[in-house]
Amino acid sequence: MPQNWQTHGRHGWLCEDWEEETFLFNPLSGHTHILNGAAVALLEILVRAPADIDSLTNKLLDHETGLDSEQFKALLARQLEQLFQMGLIKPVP
Amino acid sequence: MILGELTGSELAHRLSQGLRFRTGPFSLCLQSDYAGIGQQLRLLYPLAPLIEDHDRQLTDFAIQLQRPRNLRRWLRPQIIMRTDAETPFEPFQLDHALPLFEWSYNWCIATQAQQYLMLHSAVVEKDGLALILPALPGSGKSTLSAALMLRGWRLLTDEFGLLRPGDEASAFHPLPRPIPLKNESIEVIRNFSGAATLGPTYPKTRKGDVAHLMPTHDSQSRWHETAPAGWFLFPQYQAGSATQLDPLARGWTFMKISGNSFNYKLQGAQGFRAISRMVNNCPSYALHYSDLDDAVSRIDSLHSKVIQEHKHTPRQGSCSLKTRLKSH
Repeated sequence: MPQNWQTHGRHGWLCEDWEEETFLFNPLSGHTHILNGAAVALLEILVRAPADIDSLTNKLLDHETGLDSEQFKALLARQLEQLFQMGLIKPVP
Repeated sequence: MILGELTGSELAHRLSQGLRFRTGPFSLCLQSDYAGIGQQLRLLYPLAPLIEDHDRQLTDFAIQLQRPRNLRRWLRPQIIMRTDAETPFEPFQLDHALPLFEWSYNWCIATQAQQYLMLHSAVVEKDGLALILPALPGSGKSTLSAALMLRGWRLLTDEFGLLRPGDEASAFHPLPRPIPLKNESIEVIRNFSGAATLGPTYPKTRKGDVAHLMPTHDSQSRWHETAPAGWFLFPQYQAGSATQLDPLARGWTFMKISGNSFNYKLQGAQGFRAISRMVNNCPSYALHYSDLDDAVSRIDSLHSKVIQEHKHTPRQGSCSLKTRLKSH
């Protein structure tokens, strides 16, 4: 069964969009992150409800990238891992 | 009463007991058994208001500059700085007491004044709007801020851009202190303006040759007048280059300002909001220059344009993620 991911509750994020990037401050860690569009797209979904990688792939797969489903899923997996390391998401137990 | 009104003997007496005076928002007590430092302070801080005993006021910082009691009191004499029972620096040679005082004061502010968001930058003001020059390595911001001051701008600070984090006007608080010029910049500024009042040159300090430029009378006397942030300028001196001003991206500006702040991380969310507010409302430019006169002229012109645009409604930031966050 694929891992479900979610954001931390009551995170209090602050953010600003400048040029092609989103600058996000996480009060829980005190860190400021610079996120690309793909990371923001993931967070926009996960902030509403937990999701696993299969459902995230279905929602976000963009055939214009030239990647097939498995390749896109691998890309998302790396992105999710990075967001986890940043402390912005966590696995659902 | 101001520091410049003290006689030599009054100054020496006060130093031995603790000379108390104010610069910008900070009050300081300096105690020293070296009378030479008093003469230099009188030259470079002449308008600093004194704090009298009857004011019964605690000072923000207390610095002692004392000659050691061992052999180094006489042999290659040294001077030692202490503050709140700490000795954060190695001893300096005695005749470098003024640079030691200036760096000690910087250390006190950087480590203690956390009620402010502190940007590592020079800040100058003209026609009511502040220009912020972040201190990136090799930028020459001290030389440029000195030149601007000598051409009629008010110096708020050469080192610490001080903001109250919750202040929506992003008003900078003045801290008019001597500008430390290094190496070739000393002669550049001496030749730039006959009005430049420079202290002695200290050779072979940790930063090379250093001399201190006194802030102008206007800069010193208006120490209580804040100025709202107007725009950012990232200067880069390049020998032989033409003067060029180029707009900078907001994201890049945010990274440089927050990364160059003394205490951005300590300020947390209010630090992020404060810098974001300025980035959203203040344009940012890179300046490449070699001719100081031409650079000052171009800055003057651009400043007039920024003032006109600043009169419009402040710009609010936006974030697609923020829209989602509001519903949760």
